[in-house]
Amino acid sequence: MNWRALLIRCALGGVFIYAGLPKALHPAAFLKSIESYQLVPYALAVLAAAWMPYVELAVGAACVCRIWERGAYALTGAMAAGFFGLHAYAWARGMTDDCGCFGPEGVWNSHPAGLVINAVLLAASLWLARQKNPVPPQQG
Amino acid sequence: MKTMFGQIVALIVLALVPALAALRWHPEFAAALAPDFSPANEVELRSVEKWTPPPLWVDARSTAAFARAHIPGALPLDEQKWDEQLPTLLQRWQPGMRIVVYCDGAKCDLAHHAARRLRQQVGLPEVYVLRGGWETWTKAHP
Repeated sequence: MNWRALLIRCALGGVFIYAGLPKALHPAAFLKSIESYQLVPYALAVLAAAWMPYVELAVGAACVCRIWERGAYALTGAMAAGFFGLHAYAWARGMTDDCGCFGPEGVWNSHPAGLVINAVLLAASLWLARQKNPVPPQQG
Repeated sequence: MKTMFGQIVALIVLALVPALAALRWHPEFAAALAPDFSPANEVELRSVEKWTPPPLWVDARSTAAFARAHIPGALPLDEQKWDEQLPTLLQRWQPGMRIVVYCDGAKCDLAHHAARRLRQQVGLPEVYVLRGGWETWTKAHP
């Protein structure tokens, strides 16, 4: 049993579940957060507000339960990278609105906190993906 | 690799099922998907200028654009500083007062975004969008 992988996998999945659940319960607040970025038309913002929380819940559950692991780590990594970019964009533009990342009452909703969290999530996803798909030793 | 893509697609499609259910049945989406801000809520400048009392002008452009120039008496409401600027607007607004939101011109969406939020999230009853926005104003008041 690789305890380190187990711990990181559960923490990664747990963060995605913790992020997805309040957004699924309170989509209007999440929609407001998406709109504040002004990056997509309203219809797409509504679709993202409906879909994104369940993608987070699905990948979080997949990580914790070790179901479709390769796909789950690819998605957690891609989402963390995407969120990192959004936080950087928002921070660079001086946006002060709550990001809504962990729901309307989330405690880590500032953009600097989002940058750190998503960098850690991206590193964890890459590490777990590497554990799942070890690089074969080079033939001499 | 093929397995990984299959798993990605499966996870995304799996998430679509509750997402569609939420869009259909979650009460917060019912409000968000209420009939959109229609062209009927756009107003012409010449009509607005005849309103008595005059409306509360709201500038939905960026804070920098507002600082350069704006309609006299207008309040800034940059969506990126929404939480910061909304309280001033609410202090100035009084029941019965009509609000007209504008952005750069006919092609910008910011005024519609802001007007929709003022109606749906803040609950202000009479919110309109100036047709042609700031361009129309500057042509009429060179």
